[in-house]
Order: sequence, then C-alpha cells, then structure tokens
Amino acid sequence: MELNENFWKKLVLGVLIGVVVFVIIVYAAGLQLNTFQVTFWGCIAVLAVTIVYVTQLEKEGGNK
Amino acid sequence: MALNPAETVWFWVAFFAYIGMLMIIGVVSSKKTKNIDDFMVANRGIGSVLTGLSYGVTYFSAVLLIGCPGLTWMLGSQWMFITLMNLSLGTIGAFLILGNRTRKMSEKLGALTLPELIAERYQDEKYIRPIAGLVIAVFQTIYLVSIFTGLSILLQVLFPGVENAYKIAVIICGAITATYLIIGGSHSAILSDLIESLIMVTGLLTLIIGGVVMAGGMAALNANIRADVATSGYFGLSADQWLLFPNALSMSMLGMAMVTTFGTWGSPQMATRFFTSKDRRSIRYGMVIAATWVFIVSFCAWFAGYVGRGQPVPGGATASLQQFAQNTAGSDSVPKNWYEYTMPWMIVSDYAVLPVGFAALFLAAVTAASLTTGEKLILVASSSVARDFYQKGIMKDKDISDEQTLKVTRYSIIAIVVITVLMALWPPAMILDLCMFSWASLNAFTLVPFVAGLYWKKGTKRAALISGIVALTVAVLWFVLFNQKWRTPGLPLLGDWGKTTEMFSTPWFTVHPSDIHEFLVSQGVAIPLFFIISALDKDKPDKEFLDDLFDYISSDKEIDRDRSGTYANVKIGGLGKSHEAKASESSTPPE
Repeated sequence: MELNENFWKKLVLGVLIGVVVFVIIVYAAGLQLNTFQVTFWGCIAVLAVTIVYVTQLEKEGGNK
Repeated sequence: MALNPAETVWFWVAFFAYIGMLMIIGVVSSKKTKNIDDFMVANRGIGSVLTGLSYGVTYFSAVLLIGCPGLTWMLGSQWMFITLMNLSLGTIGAFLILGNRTRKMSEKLGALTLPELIAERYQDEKYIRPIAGLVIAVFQTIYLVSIFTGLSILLQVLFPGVENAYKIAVIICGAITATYLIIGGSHSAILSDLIESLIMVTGLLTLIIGGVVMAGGMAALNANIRADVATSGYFGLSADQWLLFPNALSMSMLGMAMVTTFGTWGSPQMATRFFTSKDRRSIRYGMVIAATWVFIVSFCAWFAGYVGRGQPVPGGATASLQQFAQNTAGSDSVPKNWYEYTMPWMIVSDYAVLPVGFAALFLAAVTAASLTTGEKLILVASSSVARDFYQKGIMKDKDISDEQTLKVTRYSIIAIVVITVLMALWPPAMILDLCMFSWASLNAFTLVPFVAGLYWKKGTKRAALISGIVALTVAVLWFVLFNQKWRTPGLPLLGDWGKTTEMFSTPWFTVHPSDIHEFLVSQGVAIPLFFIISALDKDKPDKEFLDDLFDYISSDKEIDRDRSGTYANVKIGGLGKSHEAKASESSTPPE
C-alpha cells in the first residue's frame, strides 16, 4: 500500500506532539520520574520515529 | 585553576589550526562565489549533510555551552526537558512544517533573505523589507554580543591575572571572522559547520562520559547532587525538587523551552538554512542529521550541569564552582553569574572531568563554535542591511545593482563586527537572557507573518506589518520592565508589580508577570492581531499570484536551474544522494 507524504507527515507530527504532550502530562501529574531518564528516552523515541518516517518516504517516493 | 603552559600552547595551536582551515575554506570558496546568489544562499545547492549540520550548528552556539549547564546546575534537572522540545518541535517540527515550503517559496520568489521572502510573499514594496532588515540587523547584533560574551568567559581561564587578554582575543576573533566572511560569504560559513560540528560532538561526549565515569556512575552522581543541594540549595529547591518536575521554577523553564523551540522558526539565520537546500531530499535527510546532532549537543550541554554538580568534591561542588568563578574573574566576591562558569570549571579546574591534554582542544572547539555561529549571524545581519534596508528599501528607486549590494554587504560585515566587538568589550551579565531576548524580539516581527504566509493565503501585508511592529514593541517593553536581572534602578516602573502580583497558581508554582517570557507575551499579541487585521483588511491579496505560488510550493514541481552548488554532493554513507533534475516547470528563473 502506498501512502503519500502528507499522511506520513501528519503521522510523525502527531507522534512528536503526542510524545511532548505525554511527557508534560506525566510531569504535571506529579509522577516521580527522573527528568534525565524521561528526556533521554523521549529523545531516543522521537529520533527513532523520525528515522522510520524518512526511510518509509524514501521507499515510497524518492525525491518527490 | 587554569591551563598549564603546555596546555595553553596546545590551545593556541588547535585554535589557529582551526582558524587557518577557515581561511583556506574562505579563499577556496571565494573562487566559487560569482554572484549575490552564491554569496548569500550558496546557489541553493547545499545537500542533506550540510543542510542538517548547518541547521544544528546555527541552532546552538557558545551561549548554549556556557548558559545551559549553569542553569541546570542552579535551577535543577528539569531544564534538560528543553532538549526534548528543541529536538521534536524546534528541529524536526521546523523541517517538516517549514523546510520544503520555505525552500520552494524562496526560490520561486527569488528571495535571498527572510525579509525579502516575507515582503515578496505579501507583495509589499515599501515597508516590510527595510523595517525587517533593520530589526534583524539590530537584534542579530545583540545576539552576537551574547556570543562574544560567552567567549570571554571561556577565554578568561587562559589568562588568569592578565587584565586585557579577553579584549584582545575578542578583537582578534572579530577581525578573523570578518576577513574570511568578506572573502567567502555563505559557502565558507556552511563548510566550516562540518568541521565545527565534528569537534563539538567529540568534545561534549568526552566531557559527559568522562564526568559520569569520574563520579562513579549515575547512582553516585545523584547521591552527590542530593548532598550538594542540601548544603547549597537555591530558590528554596530541595534535592527532590532539583531532580524532578514540576517545581517552583517550572514557569521560567517553560518560557525558555518555548523561546528556544519556536524561536528558531522565525529566526532569519535558521530560515535561510532552508533557502540554501538543493531539493526535497536534502531537507528530508537533513532533518535526520540535524535531529541527531541537536540531540547529542543539546542533551550533553544541559546534562553537563547535572554531571558537574554530581562530582565528588570535598566541601561541595557548588562551593568549589563559586570559588573558581571568583578566582577566574579576579573579583573580590563571588560573581553574580558564577553558575555560567560551569563549563570552564569542568574543563580546567582542580576537579576537571576531561582527560589531561584534552582541555585545550575542547576550549578551542568551543571557541570555534562561537566563531562559526557568529559568522552566520553577521552574514544574515549584513545581508539584511545591504539588500533589504539599502537596495530594496531606502535606495529602491535608484536601481542599485547586485554588485553594488555585494559591496555594501561587505562593508556592513565590517561595521557589524566593529559594533559587536565594541559592545563585547564591556560585556553584559546573563548571556542566555540576552540571547533569548534577541530571539524573542526577532520572532515578534517575523514568526507569524512567515509561518502563516507559508500556509494561509488570506494574510495581508498590513496585518504582517502591524502585528510585527506591535509584537516587537511588546517584547522589548516586557523585557525592559519585567526582567528582574535587567531591570535597572532607573526603570522601576512595573518591576515590583511584576514580581509580586500573582496571576495564577498551581500546586507547584505561582505565576507572576515577570515569570512570563517576552516571547510568549509578544506571540500572544502577534497571533490574534495578524488574523484579526487580515480578516478586517479590505486590501485583499492578489488571488492569481497566490494561487500560482501555492500551487508551486505544494507540488512536486521544481524550477529548472543549475543547482550544482559547491557542496551539493558531500556524502556520508548513502544519505547525500545526488540531485535528480526534475525540470517540470518552465517558468522564468528567479532574478
């Protein structure tokens, strides 16, 4: 199934914003999470999603 | 508490080796610089690797390396959270939302600078360009002063006891930067990013890993921090509060997170990174490279304060840092900005975490970081003065040629460097505040018209101009009146009111007007104002022009032009694939 770039863009943006909102909610709820751990793993998750996104787009559309 | 003589020699060797490389790049680039397109946007031929690295290096400078660790040290680990915002929205979000549209719109409109892009987009021939050019020149210079000030704090450790050493170094740095920028323009600034980024990443990773190992691992780091916060807590933070979010200082942190995240979106030095990109693939892969770079550098910079405070120091790390700052600054008491000495303390103090011999190289790397970010700011500011304020502004009716404009750009470079050096000779305190103020002010004028102009056809030039001027005024006034660290005794107007008036409270913090960053306030004014004025404005934009423009930027069409930029084919692995010509539009190439 081919999906166009707009779909992936929206998906990635949704995930990015979702991660940030999730972290804010977790923090705001006062959960005892270490800032270092949340930031580090949050960044790793965001990077991973981005790489998957770019790889998928390249498979589907090249330089379009 | 300084570099030993051998290390000092190594510093200067490394420093001048780097400067020598920059000069060579400048000379080589000058042969490639044939016209104003080459000079300002590298002929729109930059590939993915340099697009990504250039974005990352422009994003973070010595201000980050000096300011961020200090804030984490004093105010708690929650400030590391800013990295996540900078990465996800400040970098990836910017590439996704702005990247390709900015690239295509700038090419379609023939824009070389951000003011030009905004003015052409809104079809304004009179006001936007000269005003935006002037705003950018002024506030980029202020940003530049903060960078030179960061440099001073670092270089002080080279010359303990020498009174004017820093001032001499600033003048030398200014002269070198101006010389090779005048020679090479945008090409030299972009290629130097590649070298600088490698040095910075290596240095920061060594610093962080070395620091964690020296402390005995994360558990020992946390235990040491708890002990130090118990004896030297600031703003009433307990050890738990230092390690967790939210706490009493969270509103300040969120303000900083917002300005460092969205402040990049409307900053001309960041937006023009997209102008130089070759094609969509450059933007796409550039995003991955920029994101990786931003994660490593930003995370390490904020984490450095965590690692520094967690070092096992007899008597406490904070007491040691304060003593170090006092000795380095040569003052009788602990300097107010003692926490900004965190990075030098970790590099050259008795409790330095870097391996012996590496300190000099790392110092040289940070100095290099300051210089290369400075170059781009000077380039953007001088371009704004020459092209937007001079050629297309006050001299609009006199048909000034591109060659003459290039000359004015080069004179502007000299003028801006001289002004910056003069201001940096008497540096202000709190460089991060100064830096964020300049970002907030720039964005007050440019952010909303720029971003809205990429997606919304109904924005009008009157809305762009009025919302920008009003928001800029609000940003400057808010900073002058409410910023506690900058409010002078001569301007007591609203300062006390700003500190004592409660706007609202949460279980963790209470918000006063002075806690709210000028970026948030100015954008809070600019956004509704822009849309309201656009809706009410009877002078509607040209529908045919906008339909044509938006058809182009939202399609796969590319203008047929020679994009064989100097560094278009720089590759790392398989990422930097060659440009595939996609000549599908026969419209006249931009001017």
